[in-house]
Amino acid sequence: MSNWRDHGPVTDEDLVAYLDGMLEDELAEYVEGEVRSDRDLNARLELLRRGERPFEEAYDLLLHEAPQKRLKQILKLAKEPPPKPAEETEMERPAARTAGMAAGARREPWAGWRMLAAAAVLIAVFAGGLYSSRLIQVPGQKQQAAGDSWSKKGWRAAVAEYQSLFITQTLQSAGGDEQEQASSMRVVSNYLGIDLTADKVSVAPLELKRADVLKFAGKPLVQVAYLANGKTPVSFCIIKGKRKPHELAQEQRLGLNIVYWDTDDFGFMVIGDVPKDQLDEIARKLRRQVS
Amino acid sequence: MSDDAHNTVNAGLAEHLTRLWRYGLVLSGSRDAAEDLVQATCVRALERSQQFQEGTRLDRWLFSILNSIWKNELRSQKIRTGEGFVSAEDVLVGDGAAEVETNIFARQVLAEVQTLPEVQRVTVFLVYAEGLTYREAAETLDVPVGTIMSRLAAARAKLGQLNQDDATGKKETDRTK
Repeated sequence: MSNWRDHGPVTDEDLVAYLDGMLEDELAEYVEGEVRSDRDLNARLELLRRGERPFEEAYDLLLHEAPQKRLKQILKLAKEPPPKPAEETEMERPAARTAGMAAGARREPWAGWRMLAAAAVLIAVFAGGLYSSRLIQVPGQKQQAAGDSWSKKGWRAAVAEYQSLFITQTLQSAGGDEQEQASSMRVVSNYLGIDLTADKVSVAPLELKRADVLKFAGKPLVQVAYLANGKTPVSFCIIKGKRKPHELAQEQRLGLNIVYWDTDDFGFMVIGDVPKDQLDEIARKLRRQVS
Repeated sequence: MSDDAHNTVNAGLAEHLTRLWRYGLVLSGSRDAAEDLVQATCVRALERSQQFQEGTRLDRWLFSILNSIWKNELRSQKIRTGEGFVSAEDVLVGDGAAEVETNIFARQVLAEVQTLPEVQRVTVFLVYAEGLTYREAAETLDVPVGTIMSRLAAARAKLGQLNQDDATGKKETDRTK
């Protein structure tokens, strides 16, 4: 650390490097000489010396406060390997591979996974398309075939299947305080690369319950789940990926009403068993709020 | 060689979780954000494990990743949402539960450091608490070495002034007795 400047007026930076023992001998001697002959410089050195603290010991306190168990859980989730190609799913919960699933870990980390497993079983039985290969061991060949099929049908079809499994009880116990919701929204925001907050995705008469990270055909998909009037599951889903912009449109799948629209970078849909007009109004509000 | 790098990262992450969390806390001032940062860092490190150079220090590499995620992705969000940068008392000084006498001075040090501007605080942490050299800190924060030195000098001057004020205040108090 001796060559960053030629000998000249000694600066605070030089003095700190001197105090930190970062100067080579020649420069250290130079600084010492200057300090000896310059009272102001000596005072400056003393001031900087008084700026020393037992920083290491102080910050060690924080190490003891680290949430060890949770951190291990976070690492475990991060290390979950992506599905093997033979078992690739078209829609899954990549919780382990997305930033911020700490939020999930804080609530009930495996609840969502268990639910997805249940969903997977049901869909595997009834539709043969949507499941988590990490949780359910179904012969890989069948899974791949199902995945191909779902990829062709498109993300709205997959979401409709998933949504059709939701009942009031699925979401009744979900939800949390504002801090938890904010935390979840941070996670999904990071994942999608857009700024979503609980406020932005809140719309009457829906009660915000939770936000989850999923994946469809390798693309990030986020589901924000609500209960309408305390009983009807409704989801606002966003998928990331280049697409042709599309104005608001309506459709129906599996008896569920859907309002969807696309922008250059995202596809959006609101889905639930609520009247078309009401869903349309909800979708328009959400579009305004998240744009 | 790339498999070796992956294995090193995969096996070494667990050892550094606590220090990564602490760095995340120092950067963000938020325990939630610190966890998010650890999570994102683990994911990113595993994804990019091939880029880790065997023979270099894994903790330094992880710190750089965490810093980059904070700087480029999470920091602006925290500011937008009004999170982070809360007072020292709220975040670092703790709730005082099971506080022991020996910790009080350390808490005071943390509170003092917390009064420094963010860039100085982080630099002080990396160099004086984590023991990074000036150059390592510069690489982690992606700034010139001179910037690291300037930040340390400014931080030390401020903390030195605090000490001086305390001493002066004490003398004043003694005189009035």
